Amino acid sequence: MKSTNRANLPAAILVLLLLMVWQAAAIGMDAAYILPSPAQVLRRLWELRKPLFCAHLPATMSVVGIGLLISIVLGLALAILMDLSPVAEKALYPLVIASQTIPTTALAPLFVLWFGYSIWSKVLVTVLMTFFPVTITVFDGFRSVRADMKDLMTSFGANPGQIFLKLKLPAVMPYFFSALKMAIPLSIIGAAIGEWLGAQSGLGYFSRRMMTQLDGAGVFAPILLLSAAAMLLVALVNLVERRVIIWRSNM
Amino acid sequence: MLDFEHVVFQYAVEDFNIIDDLSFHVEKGEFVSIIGPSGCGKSTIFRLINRLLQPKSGEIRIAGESIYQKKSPCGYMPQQDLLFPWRTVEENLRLPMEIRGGLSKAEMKEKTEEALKNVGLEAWGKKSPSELSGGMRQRAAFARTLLTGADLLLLDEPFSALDYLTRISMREWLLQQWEREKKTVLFITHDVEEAIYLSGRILVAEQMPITGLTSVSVPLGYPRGIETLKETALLELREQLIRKLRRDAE
Repeated sequence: MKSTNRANLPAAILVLLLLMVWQAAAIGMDAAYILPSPAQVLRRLWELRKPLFCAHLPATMSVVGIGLLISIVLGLALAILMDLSPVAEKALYPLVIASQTIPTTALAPLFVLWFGYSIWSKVLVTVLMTFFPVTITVFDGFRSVRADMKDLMTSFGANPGQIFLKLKLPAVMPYFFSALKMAIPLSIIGAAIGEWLGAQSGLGYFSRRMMTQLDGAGVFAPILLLSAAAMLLVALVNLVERRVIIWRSNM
Repeated sequence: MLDFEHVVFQYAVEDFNIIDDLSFHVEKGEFVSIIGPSGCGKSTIFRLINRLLQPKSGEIRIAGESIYQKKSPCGYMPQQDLLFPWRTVEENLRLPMEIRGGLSKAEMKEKTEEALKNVGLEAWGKKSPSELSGGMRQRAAFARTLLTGADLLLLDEPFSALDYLTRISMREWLLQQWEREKKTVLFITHDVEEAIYLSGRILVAEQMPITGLTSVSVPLGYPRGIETLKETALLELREQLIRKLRRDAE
């Protein structure tokens, strides 16, 4: 533990320095509605703790939760399908790539028209942004499965189902965790954008409302919370990953 | 034990048959090596036997039966150990039995423990493969090959990735295993000394494409020690084999 603390030290010092520069610049500018100082943001976070933590954080997290779940299921399903069938790969792969050229942010107002201010317009934005890295990373994982290991299984008389369960699935696990760690921040960004464009609650919505009131610190406070949530979730995944994947070093 | 009858094989990307009308026979209980220059198609022979490739024509039989009638006709051990890193050594050994099915957990455990003991790894079953040395990993891979239950073992340059000293002791070790298990072994190598030391008979792939294998008997009984390689008759055999192989290389 001590050594990891020391490894993080340069990053911590840099963050501290940047915060000091920011603080100094904000004091120099003296226009909190444009550039609030870090201290002001923290103070605002404390003042707004009740609506932020009790109403808006849960609203955003439920969008993130549902969106992430759908993205993982969809991403895994697409990756498995493309791995199983070359025809599916030829049909789906270009489509999956093309889906990323859609400017989701520009379309999101349409989603509000389709789904109203319900949670689903936000979930759709989240899924559109998140399923892609899951699909591609897991599919890359399937493609990285060593052909000689597959040959060995075949020489043992393994059928495709056994090769999938005993070789591909475990081999793809490290990729799955990487995908998860990419998906979490993206899903939070997706949820915030969705809320920014049309919602009645959520951190993204709250941030936008503060904007219209020219409350600079109030814009930053929910954003700070979003980042903290993303870091916390990724740390959690790291913890689980270290338990599950003991072999990554020699893959 | 193993019969090749007029086997023809061609890779789709090539415009000639790399194996053309090949016939040979291996007796039950024999230790036979195949030597030949690299890239001549030795490994293709193995991939035909374990059905990773399909011949254009001809027949391959094991114990008189076509290989396509068996679920897993032979035990294959590749150059790299290919132990799965997410399984412990013990679980790796269990893999061929899990695939074949029909054994209870307790039976698999018993067989695994026995196999580990036979290859001198009884204390290592619960370890991850990455904790084993190169020689130990190959011993584990060999135990896994044995647990396929096949009577015919195909060993494809299993020691070529090991350092010299480990390789020498692994050869001795392999002979002991072979004498105890009474299996038929087909062994691919490009190392003439290794072939002489291990085999009762050597099949030389002289031409490419392979149209036939020249059979050369090693005039030496078992058990063998590392010193026996110094005998004059064997030195001559070594020269003779190297001459055969060099002729192709030119």
